[in-house]
Amino acid sequence: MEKKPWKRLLWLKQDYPDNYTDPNFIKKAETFHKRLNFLNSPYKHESNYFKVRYEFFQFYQSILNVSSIFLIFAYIYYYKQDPLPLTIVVTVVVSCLLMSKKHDNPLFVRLLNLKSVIIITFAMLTLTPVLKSLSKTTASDSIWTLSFWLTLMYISALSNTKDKKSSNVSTNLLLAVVTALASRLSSTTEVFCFLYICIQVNVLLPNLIVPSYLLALISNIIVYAVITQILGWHYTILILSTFLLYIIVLPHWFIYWQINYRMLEDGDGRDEKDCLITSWDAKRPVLNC
Amino acid sequence: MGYNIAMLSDFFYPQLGGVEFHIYHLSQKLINLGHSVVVVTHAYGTDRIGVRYLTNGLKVYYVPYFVLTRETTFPNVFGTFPWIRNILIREQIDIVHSHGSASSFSLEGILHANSLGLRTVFTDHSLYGFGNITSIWVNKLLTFTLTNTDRVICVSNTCKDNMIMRTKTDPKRMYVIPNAVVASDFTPLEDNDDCIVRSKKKGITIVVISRLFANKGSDLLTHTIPIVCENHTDVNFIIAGDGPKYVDFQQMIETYRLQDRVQLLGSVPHEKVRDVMCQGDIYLHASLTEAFGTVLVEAASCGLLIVTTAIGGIPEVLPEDLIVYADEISVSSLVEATNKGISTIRSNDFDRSWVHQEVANMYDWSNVAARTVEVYDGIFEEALPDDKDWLTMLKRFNKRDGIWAKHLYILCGIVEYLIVIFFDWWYPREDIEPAVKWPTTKQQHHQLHGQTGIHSYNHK
Amino acid sequence: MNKEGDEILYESGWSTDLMNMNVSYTNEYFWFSRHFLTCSLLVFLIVWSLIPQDVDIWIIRKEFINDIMDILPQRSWLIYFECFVLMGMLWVYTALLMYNEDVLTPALDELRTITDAKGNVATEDDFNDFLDKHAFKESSGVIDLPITEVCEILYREQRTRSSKG
Repeated sequence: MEKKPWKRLLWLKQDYPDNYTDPNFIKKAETFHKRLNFLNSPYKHESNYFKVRYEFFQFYQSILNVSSIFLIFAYIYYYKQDPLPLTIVVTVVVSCLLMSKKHDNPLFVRLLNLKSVIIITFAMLTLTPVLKSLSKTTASDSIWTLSFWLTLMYISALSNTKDKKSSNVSTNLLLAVVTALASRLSSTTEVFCFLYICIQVNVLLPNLIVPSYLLALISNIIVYAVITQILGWHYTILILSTFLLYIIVLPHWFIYWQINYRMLEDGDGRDEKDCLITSWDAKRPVLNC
Repeated sequence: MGYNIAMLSDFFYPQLGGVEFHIYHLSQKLINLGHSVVVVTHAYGTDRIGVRYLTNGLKVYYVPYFVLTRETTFPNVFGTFPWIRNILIREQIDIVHSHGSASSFSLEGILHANSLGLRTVFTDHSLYGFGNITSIWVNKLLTFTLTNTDRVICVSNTCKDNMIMRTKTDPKRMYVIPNAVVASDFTPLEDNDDCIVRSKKKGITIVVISRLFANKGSDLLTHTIPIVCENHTDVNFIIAGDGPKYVDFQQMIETYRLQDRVQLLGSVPHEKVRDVMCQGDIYLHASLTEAFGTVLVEAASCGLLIVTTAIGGIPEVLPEDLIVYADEISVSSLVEATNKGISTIRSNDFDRSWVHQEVANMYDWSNVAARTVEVYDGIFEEALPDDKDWLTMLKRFNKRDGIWAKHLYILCGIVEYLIVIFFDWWYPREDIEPAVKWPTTKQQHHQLHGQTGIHSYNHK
Repeated sequence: MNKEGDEILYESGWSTDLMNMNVSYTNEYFWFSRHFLTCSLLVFLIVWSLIPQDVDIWIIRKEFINDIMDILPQRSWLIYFECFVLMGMLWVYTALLMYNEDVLTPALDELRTITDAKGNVATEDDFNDFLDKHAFKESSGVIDLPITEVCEILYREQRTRSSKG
């Protein structure tokens, strides 16, 4: 007599030993492990590596942008250079980009933009003396520490709000960093120019420019040239090698992490019933009605 | 001659719950089969401490031990060794059977028993995910512990699948033995008059017995109950249980003015659960995760129709004609299922007379105990001579898990073996006095001591 | 990549999505950053507590190391902290054993080693009844056996033997 097929039921007395395993499950688990196997994992695919590296590179570019705040600050504060020529150059570049961008847009949009630009500029002009004297009495060391932590917060805010363009947390943090640093500058012109350049470089430029390798190369050359000028080649090599490691090694590490530690949503990521790993979590109740 | 078995867990009477009852009833039935069983747990309260003998000579060690949170002792891998070793040697244990993966007592006990060369079995009662820090922690600990455990018992197929994924243990070593219920404690209302009364009685009562936690689906319930009450004017609810979501239920009653129709009982002692169940016609269960669902079997045993979400091990537990499933984990489908249940009861389609006996046949502790003994037998039949060699066990650790975890496992293993060597020198096995075992039967007791002793007995 | 792997890869639409860069990794970057930061912190703490200050290491000059050390807080604090954690673990193990032994364990002659508030003690007038109803019969509820009867059952033989001897 042929054995009745096994059923996944506890109440039924079946002619199978207690350590019998659901063959469907074994099949499912095998597919799962095959899929997540280091050699077979879709994460291992080249395109994944390129994608990850590209996104890491983008993040690196935004950190580079942030570092420009300190370079500009050093240029004005440490080297005691006149910030006006630099401001004018940056403003001209940004305005040209703005004009060329909005070429196809109706005229009034540009006017509106121009209006808000003027309003913001005048607001900044009014606020500059206040910003300058705001934390004048605080010791310089406190300012450096403060700006260091604020910068860390700014970077984490940048990475968090990538998708949500509407959030202005990162812009506010940027302003906080710049304000803290501005109190060390000696004249209102300097404070205004510093504020102006920083906002243009960190807020306007990233939104105007379509990221390309040529532009990235230019900004890299500028930043590293300035770093070498200020700190010497020893530090340049250190920083450069750190970032090279970051661009080359970290994506590999990320993919290794994806394969080995990130086991969630193993199915197609669409049908929840197919997912082996999430199927044991407490289900999310749908509170419709 | 039977085995000397030690049941290890953080959870035992006076705490009440699935694991606790599982240990108690399984032990009782094992004693009936001629084995000697001791239960080892931590002291409860300030006064339940030391050794207690329960009916049938079930010996319970309530060990004084620092309790961290929720009746779980402080996990530290080695700290339990001195007294676990002492108890295991004193009681001449052959098999250590641990229960519950959230219990540090049971996990540490298995490690110590393995190092002392004893056979080990582990029973798991719950499901764990993979996506949060607690599960990751428990899963790692369990992977470590189960490396050298001889057998694993799970309460349902879903639970077993979950265990396979969590700990990558060989499925051949894992057994599925469900929980059971004491059917005589969950009888439907007996006399026939009562059934007539019930059929004449106006309206339908729906019972909910559950701890009111978010993962027991209390949000689903607070949304479902008002809708059902609105749809059917003759349906009432009884809700038993307590928990952080109790306030939500009170608010629901206030908002929808259901004071007359929804009864909130709060926490109900276990022996009263049957009485509460028997007041109802339908048992509503909205849990979001469940390994087995003993309460469903209890409700079915009381002759209730069950309306439930189909999650975890629940679809395995009872035949389909006793259950109405909600298709999805949503309020709308739970309402739909409840409506279906209500119409079944109304049309008298649900014949509850045979259900109790049926359930009693399906889930019986004697059956569970017999199957567990088969698992025990299998350990000794298939044992290899070097199974409990320290070197073999270290080699097994080396084959487990990731590179970091693996080395941590081996390190813990080596420290453990050093501790064993230290204690064998410091407190030699010979110095531990073996405990006197409870006689298996009354006859054996009389053979040992003779009948004459009874007459000289004076009860005070 | 072997052939079988490729098949599995292509049978799921997910991997083609991946190749078209449709899958957003924002969430994963968040979790990876945690993983990365924890690992880096660990490595950094180890290097910080162990690196020698008065020799050149490969191309890293000691002046440079000293510069960095000047920026960071005093190294001894880190070493104190590490020692504290290590000794703390040792302390926890011994303290736990002692706490269990000296605070939680009652004296042998204390009443709570025998009975307690949660205890549900079985009493019968006749010892034979006691044997039949409780000592060798299971109950569905948890019932304690009184200590005198337990001793009677377990140690009678020893007592009779020793009285004979």
